[in-house]
Amino acid sequence: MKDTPRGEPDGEPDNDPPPILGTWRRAYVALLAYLAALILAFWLFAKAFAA
Amino acid sequence: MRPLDWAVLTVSLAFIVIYGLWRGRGSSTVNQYLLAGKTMPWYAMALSIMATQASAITFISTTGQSYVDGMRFVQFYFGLPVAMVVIAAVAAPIFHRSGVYTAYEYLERRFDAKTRALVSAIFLIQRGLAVSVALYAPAIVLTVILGWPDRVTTLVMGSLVVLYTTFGGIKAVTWTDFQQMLIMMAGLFTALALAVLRLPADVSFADALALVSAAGKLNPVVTQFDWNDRYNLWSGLFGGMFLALAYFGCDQSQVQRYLTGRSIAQSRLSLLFNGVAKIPMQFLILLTGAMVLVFYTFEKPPMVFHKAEMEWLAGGAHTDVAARHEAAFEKRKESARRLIEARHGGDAARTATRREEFRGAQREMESARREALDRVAQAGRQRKGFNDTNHIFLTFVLGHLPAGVVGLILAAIFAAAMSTISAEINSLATVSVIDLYKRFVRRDGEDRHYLNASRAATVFWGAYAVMTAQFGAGLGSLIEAVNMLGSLFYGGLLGVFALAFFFPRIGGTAAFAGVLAGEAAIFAAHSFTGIAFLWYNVLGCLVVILGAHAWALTFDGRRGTAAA
Repeated sequence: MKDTPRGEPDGEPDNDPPPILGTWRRAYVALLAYLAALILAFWLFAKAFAA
Repeated sequence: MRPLDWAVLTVSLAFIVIYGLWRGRGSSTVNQYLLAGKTMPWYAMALSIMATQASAITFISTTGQSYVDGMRFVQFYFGLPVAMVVIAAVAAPIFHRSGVYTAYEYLERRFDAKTRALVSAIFLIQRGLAVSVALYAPAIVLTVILGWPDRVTTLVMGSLVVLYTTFGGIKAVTWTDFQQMLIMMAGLFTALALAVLRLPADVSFADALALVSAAGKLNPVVTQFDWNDRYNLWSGLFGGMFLALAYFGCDQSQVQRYLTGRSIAQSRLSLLFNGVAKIPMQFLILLTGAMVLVFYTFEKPPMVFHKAEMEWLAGGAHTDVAARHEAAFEKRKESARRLIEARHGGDAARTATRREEFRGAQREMESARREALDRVAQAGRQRKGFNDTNHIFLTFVLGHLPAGVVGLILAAIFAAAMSTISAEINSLATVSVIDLYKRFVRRDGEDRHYLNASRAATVFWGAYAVMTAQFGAGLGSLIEAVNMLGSLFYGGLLGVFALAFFFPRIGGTAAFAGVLAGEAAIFAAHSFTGIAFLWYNVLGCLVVILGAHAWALTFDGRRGTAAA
């Protein structure tokens, strides 16, 4: 499925998909998931050396 | 500074300037000079965005902040990836398609000329103040190393930046940012690696992290919420997101980076890359500061890291505080040894006891340092609440790292400073010419005329930055000063762009009134409450939106239309 934000015409040359993940929406979700994983990793990192 | 350090530093600076001049050649139209003819690839924009944000302050002050306050400052960036998603999805396509030179030019198309002028003026005031701080920070470096007066260092730094920025415009700025970011990363990894390698042989990296934790500094995630606390998970996620939305979405010094992209996709990629790389980079910088703390747990640190003030303390009647500091250092060092032994022994209860001992010793150490700093302030040599945060990392680098590496790290600091300053004077010149001069003074000039005006404005803002950088000494921890300064204005900027993007029925006069109301609310909060500055962005943005709607309902509604 092509990720086309509202008002963004199909076939516009500057409306290319990202090089990975296929659609921009997936790329955005991946970045937010990465942020959640990073915060969790920091929390675990601090916890690991707190004892 | 040894000859090898001078060689590395000089070659690096010369290369930056020559590379900038070479890359910037051929900028013979306004479009090429200010937008690089919209030809930039995503990776150049991505590193330029990161380099613009990572100033010398990032190296000098963030490492020191980690030493003093721990790693919780990393939370300040937690909202950044969310902001990158919003800007990539909403702002970047709108700016690209509208074909504007500046974000504020778009505001006239959406609202009216007075809103554009007001927001441009806010940007010029806010970024004009920030560029002075960005130039002053590296002046600290040379003042500490060479004892050069601030005026000389700011003049040299400013002249180098103005040279390639004036000649090559944004192409020179972006490609030198790219190269400067690589130098910064080399300096950062080298500093971190050497900080760890300089620890005593029997102290492992894991031991070092345990000491940082016991000192209360391994705190990258603080989940307790407090309105007055600057850095916790919630202020970072929400306050930091609003600040990042304002900085990357409304501040011309950043918007201009991704306006140069050859397509929307390239601009989006550059923003998302920033969202991926920024937090780990800040984490590594803070970790470097934390390792410096561990290093100075085993190697006696100066009582005060500011060289001149330390000499004053050593030469005066302050033997009591010096003795107290010495005793606290020995006690902390001994406590650290005992804690490491307990860890290696695997006895959890004993380790917990040793951690408490070490934490107590750390508090004593901090108390002795605070007393020494207060004495400097009480003697009238520095302002009340004086701190030496900005001198900690440099003291470590200059005193304990090998020849060549000192030059590399100084080159990284200069690269960071130059990347920020060049982007700032480039964007200040762009807004001055496009949003004010071309719009309100001379509307029908030739392209060549505006190109020359842009070059003249670049020289003007460079000269302005050099002159006003003299006031940097009174600003305390520089990174906080810059971020707080931004927060006084960013709420208003963010609010008006939120109106532009998401509230199509709001017109120009309502938006104008909303911005004034938002700024009034921020300055009132700053003057009369203790709310942490990160929340100013949220407050300002909300007041702008509510104020504009109130105006529209009260005045525009009577005329039967929302548009003013």
